[in-house]
Amino acid sequence: MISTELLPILKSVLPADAILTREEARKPFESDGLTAIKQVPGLVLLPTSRKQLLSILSACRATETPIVLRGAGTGLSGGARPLEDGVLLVMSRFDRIIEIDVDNCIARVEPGVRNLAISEMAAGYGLYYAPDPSSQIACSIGGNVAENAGGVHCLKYGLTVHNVIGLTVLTIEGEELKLGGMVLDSPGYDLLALMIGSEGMLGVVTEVIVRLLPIPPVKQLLLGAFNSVEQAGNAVSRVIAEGIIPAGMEMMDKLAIEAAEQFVHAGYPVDAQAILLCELDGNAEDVDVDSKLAREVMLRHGAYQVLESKDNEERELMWKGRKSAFPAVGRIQPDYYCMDGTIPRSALGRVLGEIAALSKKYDLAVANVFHAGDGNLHPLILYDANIEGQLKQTEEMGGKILEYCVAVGGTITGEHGVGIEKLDQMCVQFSPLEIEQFHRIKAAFDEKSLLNPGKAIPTLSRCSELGGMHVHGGVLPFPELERF
Amino acid sequence: MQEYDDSARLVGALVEAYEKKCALCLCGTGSKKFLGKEVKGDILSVVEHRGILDYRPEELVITARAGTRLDELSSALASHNQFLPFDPPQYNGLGTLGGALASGLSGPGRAWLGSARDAALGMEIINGMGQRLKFGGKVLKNVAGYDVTRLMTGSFGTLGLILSASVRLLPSPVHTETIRLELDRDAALDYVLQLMRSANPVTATSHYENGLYIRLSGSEAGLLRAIKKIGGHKIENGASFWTGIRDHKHKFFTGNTVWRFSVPAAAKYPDLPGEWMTEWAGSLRWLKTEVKNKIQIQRILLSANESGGSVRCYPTYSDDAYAAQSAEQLYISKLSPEIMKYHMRIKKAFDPAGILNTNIMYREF
Repeated sequence: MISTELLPILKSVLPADAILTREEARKPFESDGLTAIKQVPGLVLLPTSRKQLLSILSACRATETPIVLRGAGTGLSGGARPLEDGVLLVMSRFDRIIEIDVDNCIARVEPGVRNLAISEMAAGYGLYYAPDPSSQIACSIGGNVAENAGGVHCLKYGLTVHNVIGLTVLTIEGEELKLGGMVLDSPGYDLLALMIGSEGMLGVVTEVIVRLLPIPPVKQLLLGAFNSVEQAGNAVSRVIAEGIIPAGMEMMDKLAIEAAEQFVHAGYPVDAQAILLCELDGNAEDVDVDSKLAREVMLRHGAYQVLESKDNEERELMWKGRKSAFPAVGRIQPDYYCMDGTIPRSALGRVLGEIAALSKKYDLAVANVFHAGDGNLHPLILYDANIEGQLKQTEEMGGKILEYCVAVGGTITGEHGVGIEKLDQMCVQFSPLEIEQFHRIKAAFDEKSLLNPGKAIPTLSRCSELGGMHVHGGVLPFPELERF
Repeated sequence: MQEYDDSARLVGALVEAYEKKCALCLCGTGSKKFLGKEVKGDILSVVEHRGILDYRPEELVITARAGTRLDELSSALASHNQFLPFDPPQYNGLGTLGGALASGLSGPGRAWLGSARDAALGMEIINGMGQRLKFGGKVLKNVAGYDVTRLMTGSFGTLGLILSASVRLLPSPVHTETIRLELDRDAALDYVLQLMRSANPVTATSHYENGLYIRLSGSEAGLLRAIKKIGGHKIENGASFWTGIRDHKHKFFTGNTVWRFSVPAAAKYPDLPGEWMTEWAGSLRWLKTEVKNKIQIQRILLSANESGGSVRCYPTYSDDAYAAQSAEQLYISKLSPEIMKYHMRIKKAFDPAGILNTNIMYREF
């Protein structure tokens, strides 16, 4: 339960419409994009000014009330899962684009601004904001900062951390920190990088400065069709080994291709076991050279067909299939569970093989749609929440996939964050000493752990309880694999 | 290439130092020693801990021990047509990977190809308690846990000793050309800002006296078109021109101390006496000036602040401060009291005894 002292303080500093107390008003905030994990928040706050934010922080500090931050609520790891005894601090009303500074090629925005809105606003100047998570139509830049969001174009243009150059942050103690700025480096520690991807654990972001890039004049999309996922996986590495950095390099397997094709009729070859979508962008000459080479490399490495977008319309249609893959898969099966491991590209074939084996073992179908170019996998495990125990089976299988990602030298999360979903896998990826170091960083900013408590970093006792699960009789899972 | 695993000794040394509360001065070859203030403590050198641990070119990532020399690393990469995108300054040519990351410096391509911290993907470190810890990894997309790797980058060994690191690579451009345009300082700035707003194969700019130098990288046909559009004339030995700028071998970096301004690209030049060299499409500017008194220094610090950036003094090879190494006069923009508070707390979170490279960046930690 929320502290009884808190509400009167908040009512004295916030307008009535910024405080949601009735259960039916709080209920829509019970989960983020990870809808399997729900909790109606004790209180929902929707402030509109810095002054109100400071008052909220001060009131929560005084009453030791935990705060969960929420942007647009599109996160996929439960990072914004509310607390029964805490406030949910919703940043969506901070939605102003403060300025587009064309000379400096930057945009200064409030955290509630949607990712896509920045590019839409900058388009008039021939500029755009590069990171494009697939939720970009809805997700907020503040949430992108919290998760270090990625997207389709990371291989060439980087993640949020490579494109955000300044942040204004309020600490739980109410200080304002200006980190970075309209500059490419600042003296002292890189607290800007530390803040990005910290999942709302270290501070409240109130302003974001992003770099804008010129819109590439030419974009060309190639679609390679393959007879096996292994061949397609191998072709990804070969294209990159030739010195090409595609703007995007996406892979879909048969199940995903069929689902997408039925859904949007993108013209995908439905007889293929896997397709690669390889986008090249830049000036006309470079794109021409690279697309010829990429085409040749795909054909040399097992593609039986390579299609090429004739114009922008066709390119958009080919992308539409990829971008609608998740909802398309959702049409085949009532529920799916989206995973987010990253692996070295050269392990793609091996990991896809292991996923297929797990799929067989658990008798749960898996559709693979993912950012192959940077090894970021999004296996979708198909399940039916109405069947008793199937969600639990799905989560267990998902955990096994992530552990395998770690075993081949990868990571449990490429862009969705740890949130509440991957706490157990954090114990697999990090040693107790490393986890303690994370807790000390947290304590440096938030000693009483009032910001998003219990997320992102597991407690050591949680890890030691899990210990028995991961190590059977002293044997690590997948002992045949080299450890990096 | 020499390979040696010196990690057991390094861990042992840090454990012992922590137990005895004995201050340490962590260092590589000392090639960038002139950038830090004096560190009191026993010298612990990382240079013996060297060698490439993992390099598969198709992954565009290399993992190497901290003491690996940058020249050895670069030649290993060049044999696969790859390079370190942040192109770290090497100054006297002896720098190591660990030193490049600990100082967090980036070369002339930074505004286009990313910084040292952008390229840093993972690290194994020893913190101030002698604990051996691994963060990040070998993949570009990785958001598990706080980004300790990038926090370590540029922290000058004050948070821990870097044992090894994984960094992102890029394929070497097929063709590179450098052209020179005759433009004065303000016209050159306007022109590079304009270049940044349109898609051009630019990968570095530098302005000095009345010459704007532009590096272009990409396909042959793309470069031909860009050169036709931009004009100017090609210069010979473009590669050595840019390494000269990067390593401060260019004639600009002789004589008086220079001041390194990191400012918004479009910031107006402050009214300060001296000569300017401008890189990174306006974001990095060097001022060479003779400083006679504290008032002049205050003016320099204030003008950087007013532009929304920062400044630090940077000794040159021919400077007394360089020869004296780590003189007290290494002026740098102050951190705000709030930011300083969190620096000290972060320092404590990694090095609770305060024994690692204390004073090298700021006297408070």
